[in-house]
Amino acid sequence: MQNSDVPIYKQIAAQFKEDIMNGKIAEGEYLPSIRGLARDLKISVITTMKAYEQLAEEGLVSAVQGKGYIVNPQDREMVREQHLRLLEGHLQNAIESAKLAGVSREELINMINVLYDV
Amino acid sequence: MENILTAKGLTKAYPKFTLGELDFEIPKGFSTALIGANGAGKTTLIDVLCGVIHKTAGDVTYFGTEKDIDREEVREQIGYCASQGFFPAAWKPKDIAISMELAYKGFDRELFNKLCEEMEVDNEFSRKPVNMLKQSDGNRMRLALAAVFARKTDMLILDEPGSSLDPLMRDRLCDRLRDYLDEGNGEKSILFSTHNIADMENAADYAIFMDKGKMIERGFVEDLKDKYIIVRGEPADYDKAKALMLSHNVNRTTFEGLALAENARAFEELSAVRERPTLQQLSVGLLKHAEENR
Amino acid sequence: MSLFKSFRVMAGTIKQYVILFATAVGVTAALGIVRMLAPKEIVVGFIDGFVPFFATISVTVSCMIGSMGVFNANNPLAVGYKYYHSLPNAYELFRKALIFSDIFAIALLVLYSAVVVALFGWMQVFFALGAGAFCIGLLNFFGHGRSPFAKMMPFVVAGGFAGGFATGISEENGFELTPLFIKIILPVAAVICVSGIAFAVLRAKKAWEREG
Repeated sequence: MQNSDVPIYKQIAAQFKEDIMNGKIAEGEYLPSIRGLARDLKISVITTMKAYEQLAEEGLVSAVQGKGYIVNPQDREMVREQHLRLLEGHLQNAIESAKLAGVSREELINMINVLYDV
Repeated sequence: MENILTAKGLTKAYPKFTLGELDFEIPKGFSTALIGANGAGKTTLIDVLCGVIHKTAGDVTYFGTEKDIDREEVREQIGYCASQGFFPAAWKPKDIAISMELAYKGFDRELFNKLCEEMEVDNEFSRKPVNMLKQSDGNRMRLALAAVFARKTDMLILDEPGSSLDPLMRDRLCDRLRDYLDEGNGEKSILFSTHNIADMENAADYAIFMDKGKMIERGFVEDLKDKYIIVRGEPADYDKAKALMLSHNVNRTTFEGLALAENARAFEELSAVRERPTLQQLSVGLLKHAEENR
Repeated sequence: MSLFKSFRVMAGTIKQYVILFATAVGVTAALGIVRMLAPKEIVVGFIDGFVPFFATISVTVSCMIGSMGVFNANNPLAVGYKYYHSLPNAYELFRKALIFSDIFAIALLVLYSAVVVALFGWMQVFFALGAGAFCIGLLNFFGHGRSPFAKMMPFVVAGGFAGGFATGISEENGFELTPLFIKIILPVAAVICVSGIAFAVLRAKKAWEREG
């Protein structure tokens, strides 16, 4: 059994991954400097570094000597797949909540239709 | 990775205590915490590194090439601050400013006064500033920190900077340390000692653990957190788990201990909870282990 | 770095030294003026008795305080030890500050003597001059020592000098400045003063590097 507390570096990596996936940080952009981010987030430099290294391992960013970490061009197919996986997760949560609240299938679809147009 | 400081065979011998031999490196661009119980030799090590006292044997290399701490250029680049009684008892902020302005090329008097204000202690323009003797321990440390931060340095070596500060001020100290590293952009480094790392976990990148004048473990904090695990389980399993743990304790409801992550599988059978340790847990576990195996 | 700047690194502001010395000169000058304005026997008697005693004590103390501070920078039991010992060129600063503080002490001694001679005459300051020089020498001989008792020696001696002088002038037949005193006491004090300073400066490096 593993404790559920996620290490900070993983949390940071996940946040950046999300931002890169949904285009908040565009390809070719640099991530904040390691020591600058450590300062802003009030965490140690090595933790930030480890988060960036993980992103680099996953191929999302690359280290540029002396300049920091740059966001790589993202594989569109892969990005879409990632998004679909996220969507599926969220829908599953929605369905679970609907069942708990006694919301029928039709009602749920209606709700989605309404919200989709907003 | 580059090192800001390298020690080889470093020894300081006293009639009743010997520091060393120590071989270690302090990485450049990071903050290194020197962790140990009282009497572990942290202050002795820091004093030797800063030239307050002189080593008995061994070599220390500063900034990659410098070997002699008595050289003016080396001292100019090191921002040292003792844990207590750093400045003379009769001194007021003005004395500090006058003395340091003459002694250090890189001392910025205006910045010193500004930092004093930020740290909420008297500066040289305060009305009726009191001397060091009449200041509280915390205020003395704030003044000493303001003085050292007002200098242009490439490395800070601070002896117990957080111990006499209140939690809020300690938090601000950590901010300032991270600012210093950010400013240096990989060129500036920090070494600080502490016997209580809890409040300064997030200001430490590299850790050196000391016990009785020796180093017992060192490494980057994230690597150390991967290397060790904290284990928690039922008291009934304590006897079986004991052999695998470096240090441990048990009470009526639970046992807890520090173990090597490579032994993690063995704890699975005992259905023990495994956690990534905090630096504080790591410190307690490692120091306890060292104490029990002296 | 100049001798004076080195001393300032060790001492910080020197306001307190100036105030102490100025007070001693001020009190002396005030007494001289009172003596001139009210030449009554009781006033003159009191002042003539008081001044030599005051001169001996105040001048030795205010002259030596600077040197004592510098020596204290090398006292491992005193706070500030780590600050001084971590400075760039720490030993050079110590040595230069020591030289300055001694020159400063002698200069103050001469300056003060000049004031007393101008207002009262040579005899009132004779013992102060001797005691001052003697004590500066003594302080330098004992300054590097670690015993607090040894450091108190110069003050005990200064007190002795002053006391001896007071006894000397209270004798019924009065006190005369015999050539013997001038020929022996002053030169001996001067020799002790100079050799003490030389000793302290030459030993400065060894003393500075001694730990604990």
